[in-house]
Amino acid sequence: MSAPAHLAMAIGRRMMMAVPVVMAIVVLTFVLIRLSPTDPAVLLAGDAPAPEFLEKIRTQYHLDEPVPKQLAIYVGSALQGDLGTSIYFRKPVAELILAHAPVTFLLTLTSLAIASVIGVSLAVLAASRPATAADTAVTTLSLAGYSMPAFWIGQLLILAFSVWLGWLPSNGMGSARESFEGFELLVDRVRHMVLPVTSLVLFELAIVTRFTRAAMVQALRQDYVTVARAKGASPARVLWRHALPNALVTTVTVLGLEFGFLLAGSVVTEIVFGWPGLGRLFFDAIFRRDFPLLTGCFIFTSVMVVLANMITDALVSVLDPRTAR
Amino acid sequence: MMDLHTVLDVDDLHIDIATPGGRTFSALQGVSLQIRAGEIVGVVGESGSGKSLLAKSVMRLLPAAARVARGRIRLGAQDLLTLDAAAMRRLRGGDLSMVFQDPMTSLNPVLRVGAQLSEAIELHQPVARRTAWAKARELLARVGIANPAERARQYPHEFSGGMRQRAMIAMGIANTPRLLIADEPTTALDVTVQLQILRLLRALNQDSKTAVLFITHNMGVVASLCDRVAVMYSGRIVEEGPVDAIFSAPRHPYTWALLNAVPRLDFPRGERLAAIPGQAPDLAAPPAGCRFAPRCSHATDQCRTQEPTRVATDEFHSVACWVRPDLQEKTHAVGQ
Amino acid sequence: MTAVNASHAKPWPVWRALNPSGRTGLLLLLAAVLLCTVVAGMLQHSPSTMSEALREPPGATHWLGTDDLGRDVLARVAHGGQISLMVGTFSALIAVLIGVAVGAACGYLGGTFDAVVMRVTEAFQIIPRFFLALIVVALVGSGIWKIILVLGLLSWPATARVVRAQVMVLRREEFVLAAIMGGASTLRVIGRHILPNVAPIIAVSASLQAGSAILLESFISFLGLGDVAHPSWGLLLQQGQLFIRDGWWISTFPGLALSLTILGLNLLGDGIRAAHGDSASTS
Repeated sequence: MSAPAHLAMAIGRRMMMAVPVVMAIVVLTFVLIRLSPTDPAVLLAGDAPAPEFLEKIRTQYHLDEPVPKQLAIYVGSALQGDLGTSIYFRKPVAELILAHAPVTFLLTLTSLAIASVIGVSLAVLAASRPATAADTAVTTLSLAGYSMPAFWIGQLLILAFSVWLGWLPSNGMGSARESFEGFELLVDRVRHMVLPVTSLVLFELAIVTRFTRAAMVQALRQDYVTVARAKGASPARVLWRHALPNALVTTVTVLGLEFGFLLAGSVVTEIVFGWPGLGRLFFDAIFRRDFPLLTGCFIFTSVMVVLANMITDALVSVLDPRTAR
Repeated sequence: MMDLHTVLDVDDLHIDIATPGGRTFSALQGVSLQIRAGEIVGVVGESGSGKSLLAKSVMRLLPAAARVARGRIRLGAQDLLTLDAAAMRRLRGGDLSMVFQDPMTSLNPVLRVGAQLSEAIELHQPVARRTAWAKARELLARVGIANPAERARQYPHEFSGGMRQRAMIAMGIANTPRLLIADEPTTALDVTVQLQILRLLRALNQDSKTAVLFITHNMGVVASLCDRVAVMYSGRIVEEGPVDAIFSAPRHPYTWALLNAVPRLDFPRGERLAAIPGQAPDLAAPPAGCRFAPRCSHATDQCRTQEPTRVATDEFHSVACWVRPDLQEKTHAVGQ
Repeated sequence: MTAVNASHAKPWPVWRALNPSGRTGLLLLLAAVLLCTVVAGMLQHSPSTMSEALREPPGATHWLGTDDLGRDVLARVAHGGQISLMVGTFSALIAVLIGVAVGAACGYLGGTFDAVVMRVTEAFQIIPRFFLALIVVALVGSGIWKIILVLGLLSWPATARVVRAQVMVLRREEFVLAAIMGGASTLRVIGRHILPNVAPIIAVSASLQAGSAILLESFISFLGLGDVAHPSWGLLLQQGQLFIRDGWWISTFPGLALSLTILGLNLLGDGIRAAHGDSASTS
């Protein structure tokens, strides 16, 4: 069976596990809401609600029913896609999320792809020249990127390229003032993507490079590398054909484990650059104390992280034949 | 003495190793060894004797801290130490190949066994991928692996230890090398498998006349496989000659001690295992004179002050010892 | 890593043991602590005094400028650091205490206890830490101590894993087996023989946890859930976000302080790890 087919099957197998995990997340959210010191009705009703409104909320969200029944209703609705109604926007939470999520996906996946390619290349470069200036530079810069908050990287980029140099726009996905068509529209969109994507790439690069380099160094110490050299393989072949496939297993694993953090980076980057993604929703929900929206966003992002984990897990099972399941 | 059929000629090799502290010490001193076409030569010694280092020097796969201070290594007519990197790569895996000690870690876990074998072939022979895979399957069959077509598509973790070592040997002989270096290839295997591997090596040597440099610490293995043997101690060769001569009439006390340390089924019961008293010297601070003197029961004052040079006791047998005691009658001959 | 029998363990000279980057980390950390304690006390301006010098660039009176309410940025950075460092210290403390207890117990006892607790830990680790912290803080309130508690309670699994792995290895070492056969109680074996050898790993974890907590808190503040009464560097960054164009100093200096401190903690953690011979770095 070919590798893509293997991967598809591996992912498929894991997706069947997805439903119970989603349920667990929903249950967790329910528990968290109940554990909060504030009366759930007040949370769900918004600022300074009138008593009659509170009663309406209680009925609407079944808050007077016994807890197990509430839980069942809550989980049931969530699984059907009903995550409640946003207080501030007065729209179903699910609808809002689906409207804003594609922006986040665009930003996250684009930068992840770029960061992976650059990060792996830098890591191979650094590992092949241990303790040289190149290696030290790569290690230091990736550690620095790992230590800087993603939103601050964004702010610095805005300062440099938008405020001081004036080369690139710093807000929004497209120009608000002018309207373009065709090719000009594409150029405008791309110009608006450069800074946010760069910001997120720098952030993700740090993680990818750091862990891939460590894995490469480990791999290069292994006996099979010496054996490859003893076969007459060139240094490049040893790096790319022998060491890297092993190191990539670690890279993929780490990306899965850190995906929550990567998504967090995405979210704050959107806020810095004014993109209408999940970041905007989170921010608004917090700012407006809109708990249905906030909990809905939480459930959605947690599910995304779990799914990402499953995908990387499946990838690892394809990359490393010892773990094939 | 070098004749037209000498495959490997190591001449007065000195290797220095730099310690993290900044000092250097001599790990190999004046090692000279010749291997003729079709010969199986064993190099035997304790850990730290420098035998692995010798193997790695021939392959020029020394660790970063090691350096050739003096000496020459020739494969046939080629001077290995002056070759550029690309030329050396053409030799490695081709005319000159090596089998390593630990089969569990010597194969790349994420690549198929067949792919690793065909890589060895493709690196040295101008053949297409498909042909290389076909040859890989043949090689697996030749080293005694059943179902080679199926096995070639498998990954290393699906092979047993003995099978992996066979696969390693297959990689080693893939391009019919003139010299195959085997660095303790059976140490990590259990006894029954060891025997099979040794028989395999013997058969391959007889079929294709590949010379073998066999590194081991096990005298029994030397007896059953090798034509000649060199005994190393603390970075030097202390005795060298045909296996029969060495085993029946060793002239160096260390060789004799090694032979006696091998337990045999027909020893009288209750007899203690003869261990060699003392420890191998610290290479960073070696004793003056003969390095074995502190542990030697025949040591004289000369031994303790002057390093012995290697001297031929007859046409094929040489020893580095001032005393060269006649230890014949005290030896239990180690058999097959 | 070579284990040391407890009775021979010596306190290590930390500075000498670290490589250059580890030392840099230690220096950065000390600089941050100095800034937030000594320097903060010596400053001319107070962090909360508003003045009429609105959004002044760095100059003679206000070395790092002022913010939109006329408050001195240097003072705010120095005092903000106190909060951020507090977050790092105490969150790491909570995470490490729980993590060591759980990890040591699992590693030592093994069996069903280990299996069950490890499942729970894995479940914990699947939910993204940042988003979970966000929603919990949103539900319980933004007090700085609540944030510290939440971060600590969500971070112990990482420490537990590392400690567990090390304890499992040490459990089989000879000197431990000797102690057990000599009749030492479980607690004594763990306390006197195993933990001293796990100490470096704990130090690494503590350092990295502290850095991670400070970073996470800055994210939480940036999203608007920071404690306004106790402004950390993260909160300063959030407040400065609006003034990037005409007040870059308001967010840049807190950001610099924040990043250098976290960098210092990460370098220190890596340095301790390197000094102890573990080169596999995945935290």
